[in-house]
Amino acid sequence: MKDISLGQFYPARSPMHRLDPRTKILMTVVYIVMAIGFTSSFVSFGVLALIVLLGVLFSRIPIGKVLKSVRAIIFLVVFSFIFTLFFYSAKENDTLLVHWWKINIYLEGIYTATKLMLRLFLLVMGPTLLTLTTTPVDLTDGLESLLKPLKLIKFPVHELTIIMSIALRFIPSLSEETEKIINAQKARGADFDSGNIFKKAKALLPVLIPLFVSAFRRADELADAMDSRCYRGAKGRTKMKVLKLRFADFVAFFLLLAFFFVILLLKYNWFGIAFIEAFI
Amino acid sequence: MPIIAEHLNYIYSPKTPYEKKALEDVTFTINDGDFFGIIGKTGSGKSTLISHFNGLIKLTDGVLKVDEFDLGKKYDYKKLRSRVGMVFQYPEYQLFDETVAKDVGFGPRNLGLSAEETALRVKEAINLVGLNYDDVAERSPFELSGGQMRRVALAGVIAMRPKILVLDEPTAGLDPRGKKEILNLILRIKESCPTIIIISHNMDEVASYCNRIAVMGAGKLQGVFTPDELFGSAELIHKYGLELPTVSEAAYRLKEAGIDIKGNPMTEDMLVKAIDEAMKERKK
Repeated sequence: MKDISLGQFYPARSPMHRLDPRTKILMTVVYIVMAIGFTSSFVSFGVLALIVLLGVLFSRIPIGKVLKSVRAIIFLVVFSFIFTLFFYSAKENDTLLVHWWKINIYLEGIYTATKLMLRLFLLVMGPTLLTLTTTPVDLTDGLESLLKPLKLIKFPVHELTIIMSIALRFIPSLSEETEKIINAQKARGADFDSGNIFKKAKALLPVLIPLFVSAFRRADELADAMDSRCYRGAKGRTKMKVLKLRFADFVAFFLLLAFFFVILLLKYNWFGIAFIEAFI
Repeated sequence: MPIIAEHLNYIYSPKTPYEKKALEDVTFTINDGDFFGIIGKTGSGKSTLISHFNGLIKLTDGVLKVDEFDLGKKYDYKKLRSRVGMVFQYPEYQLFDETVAKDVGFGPRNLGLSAEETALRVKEAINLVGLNYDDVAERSPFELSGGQMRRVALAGVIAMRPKILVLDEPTAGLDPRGKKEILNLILRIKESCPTIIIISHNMDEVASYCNRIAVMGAGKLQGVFTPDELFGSAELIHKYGLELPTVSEAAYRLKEAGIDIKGNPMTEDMLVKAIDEAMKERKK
């Protein structure tokens, strides 16, 4: 049960952990843009993998922990790999490798499917690095700071982020509560593991109902506690931990931009550098 | 048949940064008919220990025998869980069904008992916990008062007719009167369920109700004592950082004031009797 927490923060002391959450969020956004929009050749995928690898090295997180994150999407990845492989629409000059019944497998199809697979894996690993090195509280703090400009158009940034941080704050509590209720019902002979899917869903009722009751109770209590401490939203509210950019933040961000430049170069090759041509 | 534990060890989240040793080399025996108290600070391993008794936490290291069940081997979970009733902290938060009767019947139904047998047990359990069956049976458990809800939750466990009942802080969050009611209720339950194991932070409770008390600290069993041995020894109380039960405290103070209280009274009645005797002694 303890594994389901969304805030899968991995406590360690490292340069990555010390980076400003805003820097890390922005870097993640840039990374995602790169991974979705601009990586096309195997070499640029290599660059992306290098970025992840550097991130892992600078965060002192066991690489297994990061690789574990892709386990959740492995089914999706395998499925889309096979799908792309079999339904690849061939162009002229494509090399036909296997021809059997109605199935045609092309070399280019294998390339495309492999690239898709790499893209999905790398897409998950980057943001995982963010959540592994940033506490949920820092994450919402950073988000609030980044979304500040939206206040100009009357977007309730503070309210949104406080909702987010409360939700994140209560994930461990509710998961603990769930575990307690499951144990209590198990102690009364409840069986959550056997039977078909309908039976299993029905077996969850004795857990879900008390859980909802307790979530509402907690919400009421929290609202009372906030009220009694005169909480009234963003107006005039100061922060206990003020975010501050440091030199390392700029270094990290510009390093990433440099990688971005390399990837763009690999895709468009504006200067017509000859040896890049070979990679495209 | 008793509960026998030998060299129990348990580690939470092994091989991660969150690794935590919860139990370390715990060895003890609980006999049939014991009113067994477990005390210790938060995080000392009490809850982890009792969760072993009905297999909610799988035995990983050591020997644990509960009645005829050897928890190191394969056993029938449901049978064990009907034998060892478990009432967790704030059990009223587990209520879920539409009516009190249905909720109390959840356990017996899970055991695969017939509708008649279930109805019989439900009625018996609700009456045993001091509620009026005709009044509450068809009401929603969420309409009841806090104290009543706790009784219903207790009834839900009793209805499985356990022979060993484990209670984790059954009186937490109740007023003094509610506490006393629940404890007397447990004494009544003890007539049909002879072995009671109770976790408590309240020294008054353990001193006056338990016949043996286990002290846990930092995952280790510090020792098992009778209330007399534990609360009669200033040395042990100091060593484990325990609070004195009110009765013992009063007895100590009276002794200090020069009133000759004999023995270590553990209940209010015993104290009153001891004071009475001491005063008579004085008059002579």
